[in-house]
Amino acid sequence: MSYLTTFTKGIIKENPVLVMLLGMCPSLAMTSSVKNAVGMGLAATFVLLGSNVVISLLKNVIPKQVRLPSFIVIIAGFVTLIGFILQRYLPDLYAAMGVFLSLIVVNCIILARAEAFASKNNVAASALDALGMGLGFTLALTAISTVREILGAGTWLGLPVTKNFIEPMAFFVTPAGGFFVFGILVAVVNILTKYQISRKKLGCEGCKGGCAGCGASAQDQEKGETQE
Amino acid sequence: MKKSGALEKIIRGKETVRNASLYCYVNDMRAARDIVKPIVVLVLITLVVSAALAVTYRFTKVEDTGPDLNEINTIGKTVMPEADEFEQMDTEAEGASYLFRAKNGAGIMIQAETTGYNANVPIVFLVGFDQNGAITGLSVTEQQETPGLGDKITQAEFALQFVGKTGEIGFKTGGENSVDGISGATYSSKGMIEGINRARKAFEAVKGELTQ
Amino acid sequence: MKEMMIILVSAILVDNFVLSKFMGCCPFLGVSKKVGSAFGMSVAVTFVMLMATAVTYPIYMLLLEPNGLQYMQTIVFILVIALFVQLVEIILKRFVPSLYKALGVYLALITTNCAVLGVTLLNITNEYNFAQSMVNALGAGLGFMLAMMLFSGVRQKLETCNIPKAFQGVPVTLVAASIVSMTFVGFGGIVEGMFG
Repeated sequence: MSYLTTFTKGIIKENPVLVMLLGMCPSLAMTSSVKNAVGMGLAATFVLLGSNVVISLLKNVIPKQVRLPSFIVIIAGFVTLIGFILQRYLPDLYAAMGVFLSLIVVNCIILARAEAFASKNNVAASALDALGMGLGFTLALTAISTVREILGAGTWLGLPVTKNFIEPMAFFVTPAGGFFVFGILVAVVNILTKYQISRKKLGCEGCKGGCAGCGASAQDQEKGETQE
Repeated sequence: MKKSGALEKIIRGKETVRNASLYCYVNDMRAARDIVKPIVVLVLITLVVSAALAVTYRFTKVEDTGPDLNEINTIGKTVMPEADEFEQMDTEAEGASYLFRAKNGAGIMIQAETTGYNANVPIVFLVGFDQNGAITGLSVTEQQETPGLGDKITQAEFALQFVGKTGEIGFKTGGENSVDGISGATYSSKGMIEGINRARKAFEAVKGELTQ
Repeated sequence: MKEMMIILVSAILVDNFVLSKFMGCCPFLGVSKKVGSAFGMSVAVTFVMLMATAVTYPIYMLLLEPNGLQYMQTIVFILVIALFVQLVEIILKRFVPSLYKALGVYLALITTNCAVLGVTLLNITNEYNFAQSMVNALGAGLGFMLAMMLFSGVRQKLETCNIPKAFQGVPVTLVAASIVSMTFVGFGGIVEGMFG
């Protein structure tokens, strides 16, 4: 597998949200406005990049018994760091993300990539993988939030779009609207990927080992394409 | 790995007295390493991460410098058009984060916080009271309510409902001090009403200072 | 007492963790296929939420806050939860094997259930005292259980439906979740009605 595909696979083919169905909490909670969605996407990309690089560097040092706690500590460190940065330079976004910023720690995508990719590959590949997955996550969140904000509030990134001639449908910015739009988008991706998703088992069912287990489907796909 | 070496020595010392079998000795060595190594690695990782965070925290910490008076004066023009310029008051009152007095005695403007639908992020607003206790205006400066619903509290139509009210405000209670709020955003509307009523209590407590 | 009831009822119905806060979506969508496993998961989550609150709250109040280390809360809380869950797993396995058999699979998944970390963080953000925090954790757990049980019922009905190909599997589950979530909006006024 070339470095190029390592990067691009996360964007469409193995999009973490719309194809692999990981990290659903922030995909639903942070997508009622485009601004928050992009903020969440970039924050998660930062954490993903940091943790993937560090874990890839330490992959031979960390004993397998404490693998999960070690990963979690490293990830939590980067989450706290991005919290400091946002609080200092983008206090509005920091306030908007609230508890969900801290909850990046338990975002399945990050642990899944640490477990399935970074702990098996070299630093350069892990960094590219993180960037691709992060970009895919950000794009998916942007797509969901675009639909929700335009239909629900009539605006995009706060700028009026259909607000003045179509009465906004508040349903789309409510939690129920989040599930609905996400469901429809997954169905669309399902058609585009020739019904791959229908065959996929959802979420954590029957997996062990924390939410790294959530990435079990990711691990299956990763088998046979690990590179050293 | 100094630490684990020392521990192995202790285990080895005890074990050789108790049991001379080489097989057991090797096994115990391995067991000790299996137990000690993960602990040492995890502790080291945690230490490094914590130290890095402590250092960055020092550099990124934001000092709370209080409100920006220029900004307050700009917003003040809509909240209390009668006032010329505002100065921050030294007094504190429950229900108010900061109190500002109009220099020409037109009234007191209060910055306060309340909770709406989004329990994580408080709504910050400025509300003005004139000498008689009537609300002169309202401006929401910070909020993260639901776009399209709760965030309508920032709009002029919402603020105008409060202007001129002189008593405790009720939510759809009827009568002269009742407001209708925003349909579909009960939490945000009620939060604002509660916040404004608390601000009024703060105003009542400090209004004596207005004429000084 | 009234305040406690408000916290409890709000956490279960109004601010339901899954359906209005979107925390714990992963197990909500993943483990809700059968009523039995939905129940097992909910019991495990409620238990861990209560225990995690009981452990993290004193740590925050007695260790972090007096030393000005509030910024370390995320990292400390998640580490405590991860280690605690593992400890519970070991203890159950050794002393209550029957319970371990029933809950073991779910326990392993709970470390990274964001509802557990979420409830401990929100207790601090909302400035609850210890008793209120415990009530909030209990409410969050019961709310999770309610959502899981309701939803597993809905999904069993879905099994026998003729669903368009594009919607089979995940998409129809999400749309069903949307409808269940909508029913919870109706609870919005209940707290005011009951205790107002």
